[in-house]
Amino acid sequence: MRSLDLWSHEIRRAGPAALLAPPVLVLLIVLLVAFGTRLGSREGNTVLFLMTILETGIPLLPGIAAASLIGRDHAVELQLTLPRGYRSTMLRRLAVMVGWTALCALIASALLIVTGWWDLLPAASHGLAGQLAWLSPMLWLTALGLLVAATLRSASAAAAIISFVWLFEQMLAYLFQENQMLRLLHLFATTHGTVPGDWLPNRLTLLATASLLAAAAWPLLGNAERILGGEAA
Amino acid sequence: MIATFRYEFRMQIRRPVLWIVYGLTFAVIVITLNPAYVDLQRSNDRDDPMTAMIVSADLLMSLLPIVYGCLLADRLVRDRRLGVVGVLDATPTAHTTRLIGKYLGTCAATAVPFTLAYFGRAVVYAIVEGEPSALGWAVVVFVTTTVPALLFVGALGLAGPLLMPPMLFQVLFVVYWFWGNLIYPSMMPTLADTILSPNSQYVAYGLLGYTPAPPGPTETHLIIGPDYYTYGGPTPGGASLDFLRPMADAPVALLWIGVMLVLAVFVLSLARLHTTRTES
Repeated sequence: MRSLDLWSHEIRRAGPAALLAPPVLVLLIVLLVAFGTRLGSREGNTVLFLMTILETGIPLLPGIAAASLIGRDHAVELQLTLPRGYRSTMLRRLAVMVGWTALCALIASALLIVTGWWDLLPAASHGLAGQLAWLSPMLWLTALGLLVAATLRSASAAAAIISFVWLFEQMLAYLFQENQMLRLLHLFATTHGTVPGDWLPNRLTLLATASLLAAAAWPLLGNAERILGGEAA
Repeated sequence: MIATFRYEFRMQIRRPVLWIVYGLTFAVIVITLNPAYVDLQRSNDRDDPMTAMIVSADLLMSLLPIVYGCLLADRLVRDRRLGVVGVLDATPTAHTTRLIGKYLGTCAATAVPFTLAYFGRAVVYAIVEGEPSALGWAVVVFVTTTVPALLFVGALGLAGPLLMPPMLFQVLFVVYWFWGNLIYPSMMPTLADTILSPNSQYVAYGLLGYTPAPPGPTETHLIIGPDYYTYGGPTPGGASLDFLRPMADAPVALLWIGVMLVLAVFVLSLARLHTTRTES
């Protein structure tokens, strides 16, 4: 019960903006599916927009949330004396955002599968692995956000890096696709197209590197001295 | 105002993260945009300092403003979070004066790494190519194109987090930059390449008489879209919001500068109104 209380507290604490953002993306997908063709959007374009929302929009939200995790609490000293570790509190906060976004993404992809749009998505593999289209970039960007925030201890700087990576991988997708090594690390390989056989290895590489990034962030988040320093200037 | 300006400038420019984030992102740009950023030519038959400086500014303006905006985003809300607003209110300095001082100070400081990167490249170009006039062109391009755009983006970055939760602002800001400045107008209704976009090339085309050569074979390797047709008339095939994309000439270029300044003042007035409303 106690643990449940903690979770419900974190959900309420997340705020309406954070909780509303993922459903807004789902709503956008619904609108596009329902009215896209009627608005004069060609089928190819609509597919691209749908994939862009799912593969790039969804990961951005937990990515920025992870970047903004550090230095927001007053009286961290008090938090650090509690039996629940401060690190687990921060990770619970992040889990609320990641879980909620993932749920919304699942609903959106179910909608796309039911309406038949999923089959038209570029390089989207079918079946369960197809869900890696949004899951891999989401976990990767979240892990990066966590690591950068823990390293720089500045929400604005961490958000700047996440935003830059997000824009950069969209704008210069061809750079990633030209190089065999970078192709495996491209976040948006579904939207921007990749060599068909490389899609699944790319998704799995992202998951593996995401766990490395998160593992690197782990000791930094547990360092009480750094946490007590609060947000850097 | 001068005191606020100086203090805010020093406070921002001494932040280690400012230099770390700019350093990392600039390094990524230099490494990955290597052919374009080293040549600074849109295609092989153009080799004059003005073109080079315009392309150099354009390359930096496509990605670095996102870093600039994000690093400004916590400056105004920080005063509230630290609880110093009450103390500052007790000083004889008026609210508006303080806001303007803070805006100009933080924007100037956050633009310093940007400016160093741009003029650094201009100096390298001037030495390597033996074209000292590049430095003059760099100043002209910077003052007429980059400064108005950064003034608007700076106002947006500073005031945005005051009007909505900072996290939401950061998401919307990056999405806005992508949608409203970088994608091709023919793809979907967008503010990109319009007179309202800070990443527009109106000054280059209208005021400096920039006319890019026809796209060469390397054209697809530049992040800059083939925008020469947008500024010379309507987008081929037509695009939504084309009425916001007038043909580029000198008055339109000056209008664009004016629009950027007016938008900056408008956003700052919103921030000022917001502080008035939430006072006491």
